[in-house]
Amino acid sequence: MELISHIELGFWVALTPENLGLCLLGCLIGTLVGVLPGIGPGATIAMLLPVTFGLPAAGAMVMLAGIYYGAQYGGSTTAILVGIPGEATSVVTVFDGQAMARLGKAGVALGIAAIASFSAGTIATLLIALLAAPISAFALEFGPVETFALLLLGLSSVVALTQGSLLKAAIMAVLGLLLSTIGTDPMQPQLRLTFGWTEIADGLNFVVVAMGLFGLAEIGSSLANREDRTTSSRQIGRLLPSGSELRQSLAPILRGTFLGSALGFLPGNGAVLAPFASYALEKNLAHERDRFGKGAIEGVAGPEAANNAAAQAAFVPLLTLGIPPNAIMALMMGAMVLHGIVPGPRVLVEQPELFWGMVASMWIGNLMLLVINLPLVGLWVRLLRVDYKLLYPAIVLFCCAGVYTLGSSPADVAQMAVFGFLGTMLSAYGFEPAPLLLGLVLGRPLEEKLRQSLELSQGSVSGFLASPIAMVLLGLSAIVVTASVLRSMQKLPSRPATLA
Amino acid sequence: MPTANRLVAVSLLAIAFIVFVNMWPASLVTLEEPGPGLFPKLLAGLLAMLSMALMARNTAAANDNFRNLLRPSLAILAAALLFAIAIQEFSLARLGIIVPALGMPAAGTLALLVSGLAEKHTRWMPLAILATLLPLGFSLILRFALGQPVALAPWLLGY
Repeated sequence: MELISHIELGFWVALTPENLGLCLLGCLIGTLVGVLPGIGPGATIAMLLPVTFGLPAAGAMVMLAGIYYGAQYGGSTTAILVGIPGEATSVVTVFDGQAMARLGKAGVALGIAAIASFSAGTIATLLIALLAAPISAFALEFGPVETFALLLLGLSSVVALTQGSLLKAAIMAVLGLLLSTIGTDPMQPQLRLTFGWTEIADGLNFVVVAMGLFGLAEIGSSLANREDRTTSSRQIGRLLPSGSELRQSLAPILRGTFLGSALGFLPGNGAVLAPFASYALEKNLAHERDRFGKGAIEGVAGPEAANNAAAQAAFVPLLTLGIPPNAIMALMMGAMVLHGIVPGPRVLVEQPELFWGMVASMWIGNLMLLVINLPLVGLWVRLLRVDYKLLYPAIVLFCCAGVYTLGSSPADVAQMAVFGFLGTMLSAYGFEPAPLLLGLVLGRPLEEKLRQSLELSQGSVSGFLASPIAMVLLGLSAIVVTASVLRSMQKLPSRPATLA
Repeated sequence: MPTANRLVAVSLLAIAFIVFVNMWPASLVTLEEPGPGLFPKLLAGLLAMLSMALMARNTAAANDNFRNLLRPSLAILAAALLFAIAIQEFSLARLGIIVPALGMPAAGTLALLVSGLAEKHTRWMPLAILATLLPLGFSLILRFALGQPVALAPWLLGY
């Protein structure tokens, strides 16, 4: 009964005209971003953070969330029509989606992708609603020791599960933690690592760093790695799948949804892993495996359900525990902090309208995407022809102007420029920015809890061992890191690159 | 030629050393009363160890991708820095350099034009048109629609 009243509260908040408008705006921007080359949801969310200052907290979060899962829809559009994934989560959709387009069934592929995403979004939203209260209630019992162990688990899991070099991911995470110490000490009135620069006495501005690492850095990488984006010249055809096509897709959609929900919840890049796992599962379960890669509808339905479910499920650790499981959630966490909200289990208790409003708007956003995206597919196809040579200078302007409006400070713009340059160069050599951003976001709370824990235990490390929950969490951190070290030593094949 | 990994590792070792030296006066005190120096020093030590592990890796030298990236990343850096210099009055008194405040439309135009250098095959005419209209339109929206304190043309209008 309590769940029903919470959901009712959520819909009351989400169905206000302002929040409906912001949800629609976020979904449209997200789809646009997913379709357009060279700009991802991370860069877009970073660029729009300054804009959200003037919005109420719930509306801001609804819009930013809409951008995130809207980009999943947009990414699948380019994967199917162009054969190039708009986002990393759409890589697998290319295999059979493009093949269906070459067979003249692009419309069916787009239709089943939208239906699969909506179905998965609906189920995942329900799972969030069911799991949130128990997880938050459990986390509310945590003291400094348990919270420190949980934050450490979150950060170490993301580092361990990041694609590419474990060592480089660890370096970036530690660098992010170090950057978080710049400015005033959290517990004593003392400046640290400012070198006399008053501009950074309050620490590095998260928005500035994020816009540099995800906005400007992505431009450099995109210009260096240009792709041919010729759209499929065949007709799109009918958009709605037939009855038999829907029956064929039902089981893959359900399996993809639960697989995506489980992986998206875990720290790391679950949203990227989920569609791969779903594709492998469907191929293994299929009677005729050689249909895959040649236009098997299950090869689109399962992965699309998985990636949308994972995108929604990634909100669970953020909203209930205050742990962002990936870079996008770190940006969302930054947005919450900018609005004076402390992410974690208290959000559900102290601001239930924010939490349940976001949950309800996720379902509304998925419905909007299903209804508007299919009729607008012609518009998205035209947008695929936008010349990136004119798009990226506009992105540079939006980043510079956006950062400047934060505090009318040219120093912020200069900082962003430096982070953008470093981000481009570092990511070229396998130093991904996501762990750095997570370190920057989690650094201060991690330090506070560590120091509080040491003070409570009077400097004794046994304080950490006295708590069974902390021991379990620290043990899990050790297992995750050890498993990743062993994996990297065995030189297993690496997964495709992360795109934020 | 030093490998990219070694260049990064040396830079990170330098950062760790600077942090350790800078935080030396902010004493650790004791573990019972951990001070402001605890966390940065722990992290500096960890960074130093990881950097040495990185240095020990034997990888290839900087590859062609570095050359492909250098032009766009330097151009974008220059564009953003030029925006920062031009939007408000900028002075380097010791060198006698003073750049008057140009306002957001002019600073944005300069930034867009310089960013065009990032791409080898830039179409300069469409970019010039975009560079003229977009910063002006965006500045007007920021100032009059969103109420942001954005300078439009201090050298001409006084605001």
